[in-house]
Amino acid sequence: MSTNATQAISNKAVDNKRYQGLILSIVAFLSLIALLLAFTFYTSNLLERNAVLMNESNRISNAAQAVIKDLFDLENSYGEDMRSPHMQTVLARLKQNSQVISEGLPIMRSGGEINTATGIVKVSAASTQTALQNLDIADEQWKLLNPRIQSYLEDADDIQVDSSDKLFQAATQARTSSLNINSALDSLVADTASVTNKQAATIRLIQIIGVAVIFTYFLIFVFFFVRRLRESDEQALSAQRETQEIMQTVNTGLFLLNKDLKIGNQYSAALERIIGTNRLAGESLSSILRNRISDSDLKTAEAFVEQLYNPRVKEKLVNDLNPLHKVMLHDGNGTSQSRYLDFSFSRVYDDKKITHILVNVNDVSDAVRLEQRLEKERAQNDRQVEMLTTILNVKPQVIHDFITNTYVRIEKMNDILKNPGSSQFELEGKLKSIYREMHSLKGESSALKLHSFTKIASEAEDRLHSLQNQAKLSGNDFLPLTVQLDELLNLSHTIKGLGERINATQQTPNAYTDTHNTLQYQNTPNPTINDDLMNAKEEFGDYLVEFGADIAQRQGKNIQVDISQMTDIYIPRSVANGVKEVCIQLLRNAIVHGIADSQTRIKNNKNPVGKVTISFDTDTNATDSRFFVFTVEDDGQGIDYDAIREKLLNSNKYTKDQIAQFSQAQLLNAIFSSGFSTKESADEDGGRGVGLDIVQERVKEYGGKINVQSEKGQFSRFIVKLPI
Amino acid sequence: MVKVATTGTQPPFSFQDEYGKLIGIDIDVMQAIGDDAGFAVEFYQEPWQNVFPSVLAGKRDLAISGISYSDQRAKDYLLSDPYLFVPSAIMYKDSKLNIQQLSDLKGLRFGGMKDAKQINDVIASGTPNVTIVPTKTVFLAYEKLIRGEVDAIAEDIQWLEYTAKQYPTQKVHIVPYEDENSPPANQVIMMNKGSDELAQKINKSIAKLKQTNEFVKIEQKYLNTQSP
Repeated sequence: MSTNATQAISNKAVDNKRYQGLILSIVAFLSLIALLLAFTFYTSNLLERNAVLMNESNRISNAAQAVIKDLFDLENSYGEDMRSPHMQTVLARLKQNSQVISEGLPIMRSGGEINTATGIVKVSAASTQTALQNLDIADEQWKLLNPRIQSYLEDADDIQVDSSDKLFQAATQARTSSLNINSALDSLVADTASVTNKQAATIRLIQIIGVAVIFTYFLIFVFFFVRRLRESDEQALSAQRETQEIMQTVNTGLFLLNKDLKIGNQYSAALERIIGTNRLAGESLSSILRNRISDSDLKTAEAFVEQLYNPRVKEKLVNDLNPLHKVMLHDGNGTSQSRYLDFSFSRVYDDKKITHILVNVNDVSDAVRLEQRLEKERAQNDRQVEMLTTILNVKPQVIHDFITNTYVRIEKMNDILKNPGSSQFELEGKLKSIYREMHSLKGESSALKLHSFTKIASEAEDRLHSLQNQAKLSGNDFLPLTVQLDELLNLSHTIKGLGERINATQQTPNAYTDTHNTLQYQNTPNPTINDDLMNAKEEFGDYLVEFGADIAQRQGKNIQVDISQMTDIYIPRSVANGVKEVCIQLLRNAIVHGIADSQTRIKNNKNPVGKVTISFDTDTNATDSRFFVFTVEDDGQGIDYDAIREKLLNSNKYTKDQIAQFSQAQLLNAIFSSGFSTKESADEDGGRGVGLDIVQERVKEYGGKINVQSEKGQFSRFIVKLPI
Repeated sequence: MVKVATTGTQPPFSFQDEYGKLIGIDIDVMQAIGDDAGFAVEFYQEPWQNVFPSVLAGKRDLAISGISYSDQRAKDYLLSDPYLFVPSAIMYKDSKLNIQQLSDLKGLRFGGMKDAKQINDVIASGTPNVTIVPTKTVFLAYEKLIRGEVDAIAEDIQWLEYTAKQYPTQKVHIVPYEDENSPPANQVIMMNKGSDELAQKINKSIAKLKQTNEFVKIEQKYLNTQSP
């Protein structure tokens, strides 16, 4: 491959050199032919010149014969009227032929042009010695004859002069001269002919040799170049085959893109599979990608390729803007998983000119999916870190309580599931109970920011919620819940383990080796605290404030949780769990439902910061030691009875008339019932209508009481009494 | 097939065109007779001296070459009926001579074609002191007249007129000395004695062609339009 690459680079130079040889050979070949043609042209010219000379000689010879014939005719016709047509013709002919001879002889000697019957003929001078000698003879004879003829012709027409003597003289001279002229010219012709024949033979020889040379050269040329062409063809073919093999084998999509976004005729076999179509050659990339990627991506891609063709744009810079880097591909059928393609573009230069764009397409679905999974795992890890942080930040007792509670709840739910009872009513009861437990669990974990728990609980809640809406329940519907319970249990174990390990490291180096310290942790969670009482503010208040802030942030509200009245208040252990649970639910309820967002509050002329006051009543400890009283109060919009009515109406459980007749107490009862919420959609913090249900359930469990006070637009106050 | 002897040197009766082909009144007349009588005609050019002997020798069947009637000829040969009126005429150059008849040739040099009828006429007229210069051809006699070698020549009037027209610069006078009733003024075809059958055919055609004015047409053709 590397040799191929260098070959490609120097291809041009090699080509030029190769063709130079070919061109030179063709030039030489053509020169040879041209030379032969020039020679042929020259020699044919030479032969023609001789032919003209011979023709001219023959013409003069004929004229000489005509002269003697006419002279004899005149002699014979002596006594005939000179004006007769016959005589006139003969005289004219004699005159003309004399002129032909007089003009022709000097031209044969020195060359020139002659007017003949067939046109102007160019005669070149006789060159050979023999020819010149013969010309001399002819000239000499003509010089004897011509004056006599001219002298006769002068008077021939004149009847007053007797020209018979002159005719006689001319005829007598003609008898010898004409013959001599003829024989001289004949020998001149013969000589010229022999010269011509010799020349022709030489020319033929040279021509034959020339043709033979040319033919030989041609054969060598053809043989040599055909061999070289075949060699280079073979090279090209094998190179092509290699390219083809690469194209067939390479598992990325490779193709060339021209300026009109048309795909080249050659592309790698993998491209069809990657793009998902086999109609690619010559097609427009736009039309192929249309409906496979989003229109905006396509548009950007077109502009991008255009930029790539702009030589002033730096390729590296523009490549960062590649819109088709990890682009999601919608397959036409839509059944399979969506795939991700990575198009990378690089310019193809030819002599500093951008000729094509080489496009490399990779199916990066796996990589993208891996990335997504990694992302997920990272998130999970984050959550675990988060859990760890929680565990580290929160008092071990709180964690311990949470885990104990969680175990209890999971067991409870398991018991509920195991309980016999398959009637619709019983199943609905089960559903409600499980829902409550799950919601409590979610609330608690959410408060502790144990998002893994929250998430599983939330998922379980989703399922439960959908079951609630189901018209008919069956035992099997609950089966999937066991999975989530298992997960929760596992998670609990994990936290417990983590907590134990962390606890171990928190001990003195000596205690580190003590295998019993975990037990110690469980048994004596906090040595500074009374076994029976829990410091409300320290152990619980701060936690509530934090939880409130979390929820507020999630709900996009501005909340201040006031726990100032918790100072020096201790919660009896017996009710601590209940207090915590109810407090959490009520606080959540206050933030989610009670207090509006800042903008609404400003509109209603309220402080933009909502306030939730949680107070534990210490006084009751003295007067009525049987109850622990706590109050959760918000300065929100109060209980919206109209919204409750509307919601009830929508639930189709009651008629409009019934609802209109409901008292406030009845309406309050409704909000404490399971599955009721005025919130439109559910999230981590509320909307499933379980919160107040739990409150009611817990209060009932503890044998306590709950009192609701509210004024519309002013406040809502929940006062809970739990017996100690 | 009839073989015809003619001189070919006697315009306008018998002469050659530029290619040497025989033309003239006699040629056309003979052709017309042949066409009418139904025989083919072949012309043979003979010098004047040989014209009669060739017919007599039987080499030619007849001769037509400006031959005038004469009693002597009628006695020696078989002559056809006349086909053309050819009065003989005298041509002279010098106006002072004022020649009107043969007797006016007294003391003059007279040129004529040897053996021609006109020379015989001069001799027969008995005019004294006439120097007779015979020539080979009529044209040579004309040349002698022009060059002043003779004072007068005599020939058939058609020939004289034709030649005078050929040389318009030479002023000559032409005076006929025969009238139509004079038998010698008539031109005839000469045959050998014994060719009666041929003579009969020819005479029949001559009579016919005379009636149809064919001969006049031929004469007109050469005398009026023939001017080279």
